[in-house]
Amino acid sequence: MGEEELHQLIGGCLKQDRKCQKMLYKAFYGFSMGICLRYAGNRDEAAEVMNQGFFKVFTKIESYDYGKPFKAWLGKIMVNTSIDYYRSNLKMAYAEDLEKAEHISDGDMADRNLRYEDLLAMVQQLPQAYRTVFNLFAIEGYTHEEIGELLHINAGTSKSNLHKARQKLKQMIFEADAMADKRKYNGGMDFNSIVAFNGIDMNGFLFNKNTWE
Amino acid sequence: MEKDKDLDNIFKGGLENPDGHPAYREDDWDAMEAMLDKGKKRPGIIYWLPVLSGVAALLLVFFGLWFFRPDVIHHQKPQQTAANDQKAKHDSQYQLQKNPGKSGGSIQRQVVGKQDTTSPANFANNATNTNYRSKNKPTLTTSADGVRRDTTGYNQIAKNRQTSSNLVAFSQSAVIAPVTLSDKSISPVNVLPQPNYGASSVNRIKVKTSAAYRPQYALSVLASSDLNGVNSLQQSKVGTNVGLLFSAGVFKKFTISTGATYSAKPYMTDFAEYHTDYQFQTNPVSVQANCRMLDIPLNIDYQLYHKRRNKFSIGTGVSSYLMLHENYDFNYGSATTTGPAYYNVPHPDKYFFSILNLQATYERQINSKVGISMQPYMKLPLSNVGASQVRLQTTGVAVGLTWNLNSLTKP
Repeated sequence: MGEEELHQLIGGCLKQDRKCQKMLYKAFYGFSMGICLRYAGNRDEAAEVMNQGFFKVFTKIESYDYGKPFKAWLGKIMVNTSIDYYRSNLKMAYAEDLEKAEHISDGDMADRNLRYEDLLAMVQQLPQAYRTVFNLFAIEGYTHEEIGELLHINAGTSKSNLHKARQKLKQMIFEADAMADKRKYNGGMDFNSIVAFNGIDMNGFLFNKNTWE
Repeated sequence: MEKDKDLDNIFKGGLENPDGHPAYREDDWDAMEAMLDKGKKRPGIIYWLPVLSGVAALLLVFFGLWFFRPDVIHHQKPQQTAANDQKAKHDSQYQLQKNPGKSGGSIQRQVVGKQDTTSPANFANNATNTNYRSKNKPTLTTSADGVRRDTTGYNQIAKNRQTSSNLVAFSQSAVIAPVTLSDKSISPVNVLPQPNYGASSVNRIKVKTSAAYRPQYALSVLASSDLNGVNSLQQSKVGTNVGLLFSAGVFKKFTISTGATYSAKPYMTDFAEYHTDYQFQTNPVSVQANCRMLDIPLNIDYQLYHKRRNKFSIGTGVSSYLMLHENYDFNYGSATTTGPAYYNVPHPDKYFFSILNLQATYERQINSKVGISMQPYMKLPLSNVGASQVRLQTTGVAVGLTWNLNSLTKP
């Protein structure tokens, strides 16, 4: 979208013109949804948060400064709305123990080529508290002090949540790798089929035994 | 620490610029719009839609009954023309008498008729100057042909005929003037409706197609009650239907749907409409049919209105009837006549694309997955169906429950 077209749309939104609002909404749907999906547990939740974000955009469009990039302004609103949502849902956030994930070795993380959908699914599987901190730190680039302020937690909690989030993500990546390896070498297939074969055999044996007695 | 950075970068790189990944969903905008409208007064049409669709349903039923009532009027028409023929001679007489005297009525009547009629009238009038016998001249009947179409004037004719001889007598000299007047009055009258070419170019609808459009799939369960009749819905019987429909939105506003409906269609028909090879000793008076069939429709709907949770669309399509069971009961006029009481069709046939569907649908989304709908519809015969080869038509209202299949799959 050209700069001029964008400014026209924003001008229309200033007049609360519904058509312009919809065009703006559609134009930045992908971008905004991309942000909200990272913070939300699923698409419906993300859509709800995104709409709250757009609601702020449409009702406070006059506070937008034409000198600054619109996308950055919009992105910031989406992140803030996601944080608001997180705060309002704090009760149901927390607590999953990470004992299992504690000892995962740090394999080579660099040259991995995971798809957007896979990465998103992993982030969405994180408990909300970890997910929020991870997003803010790793993707948005906030410091622990800033995150502490935003989420009303102290910097230490932020650090610890980030650590736990990373542990979980690593675990998920390795699980994904293991799945991919299984598929690649067919080893898993063989193994699985043997289990199934044995299982069936057992049943047959037991049934037969019953009929004999 | 380095490893943690790598991990962060994987996610940062993969998730930071998701432009285009999540596909646009109209449902989300609907929710957005609802949020923006909160506090504002909702437009009145939303409240009126159920009423409007109810009215549409009634109209469909009404027109169904009205269009397909027996052709009483058509049967009467030949009788009327027969009467006209008898009066034709009097008409010509009347014209002769009327023209010279009171010019207004007769001149208009000539305008209604053919322009040619003026010349025979002139001729006739001229003839009367010399000879009264011309009243019965064959040339006059051609002008009478034009007059015949105006049926309202007959009462006047009858009245005027009594004074006719007098009128003719004193007005012969004035004949030509009013007739020529009428000639002038004919030409400026432009009877034919003029097509308005300008208007057609005004309402050009802009259709925007977006590349990111995904087809919408939906599954509906429909139940309906309808009136069935042959040729008309005068002797209609109430039938019931239950069906399952699958629909796919193909373009922005068009939806194609198909499925299967189990229909019980009882109907009553005069024996005249019932076609059979069987020779009855005494023909039954009427036939009561009881059919069960699978109705396989293929419809296309156009969405006229869609705002937030409300949709209104109209559509058409064809149906195939796969008969499952056909049974005919014969009613004889008197109890004494003997004949077969019923006929069970042993191998009911299939009738492909034999029915034209017309329907209007109002749908309201309850949430993103489920909606309810109300659908007045008509089914008109394209060809004869059933062992008895009847033109079976149906009109009714269906209510339905629709699942939006798209919302079940993640993008």
